[in-house]
Amino acid sequence: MPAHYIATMMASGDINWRSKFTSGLSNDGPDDKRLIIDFFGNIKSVPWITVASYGYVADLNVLVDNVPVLFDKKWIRGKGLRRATITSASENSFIIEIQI
Amino acid sequence: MKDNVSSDPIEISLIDSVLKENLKDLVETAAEAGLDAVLEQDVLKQIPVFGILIKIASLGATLRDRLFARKLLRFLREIADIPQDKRNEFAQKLDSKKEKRRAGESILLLLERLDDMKKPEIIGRIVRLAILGEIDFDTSMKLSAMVDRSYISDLVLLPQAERGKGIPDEAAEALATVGLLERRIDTDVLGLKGPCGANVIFYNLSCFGKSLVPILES
Repeated sequence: MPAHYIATMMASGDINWRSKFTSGLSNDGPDDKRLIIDFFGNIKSVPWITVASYGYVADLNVLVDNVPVLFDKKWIRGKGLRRATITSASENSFIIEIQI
Repeated sequence: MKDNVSSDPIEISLIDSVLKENLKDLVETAAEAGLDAVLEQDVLKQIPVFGILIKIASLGATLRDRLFARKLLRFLREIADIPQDKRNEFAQKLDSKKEKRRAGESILLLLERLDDMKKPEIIGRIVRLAILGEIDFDTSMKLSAMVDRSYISDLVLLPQAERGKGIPDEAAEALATVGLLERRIDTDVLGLKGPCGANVIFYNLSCFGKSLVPILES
């Protein structure tokens, strides 16, 4: 199962994070190596997602630095840039799937 | 000393060179001595293709000859340590003289055209895989032609094409033009490359690019 989180950008620009599905998550991380983030808000202002020549990438180091409470974990720390797929997108709502 | 010069055409002599039993020793001796010095000695004549070139073309007379000889030597160096039985198997696959000639001709034409001294090594590593039976000869020639048509400065970026931040668009476009990358037109749903929803081109490794990455990294 993937590790699944919800990120909601507030009017202040701060992002409220919470787990959506992480039950049974071991220290090795999700067994299918997928990290999914449901994101609501202005994605362009988020520092941990960017674009590479081959597609979107998520910078997991920046994610750990920005949200250490949730992501400063062995299975994600130091992983750097990883391919990210946008599986759903509407005006201010995105589902981002990251291969870790 | 009797010249070890084959009566076969130069294309076939290249394949005979690949089969030469003490090829590794000869190539290493030539590499250690430095090509300019070794051209004056007999050691290269023992490699059939050099034997012919020295005899018919006074190899080394011009700068172009010397560069070609260096390319040949760098190419042969990459395949010289392949076990003899594997090299014999490869020659058996090119069973007819016509096939041997075609294979030798393809390699010589490629080597002659190459515009960078790193490329003969890369092509040597590609042909090495064909000799080892890991890819077929035609595929090795297609890959080699792509190497020939790429700028070396773009080519060395290929292993990074699907890692980290990827590679600059100019290099990606050039590598896509020769067939090592594939263009994928997508919608920039995040608007990170331009207006949100506009078309964007991403570049992914083609099957040839995927085959070439481990060769470039070896």
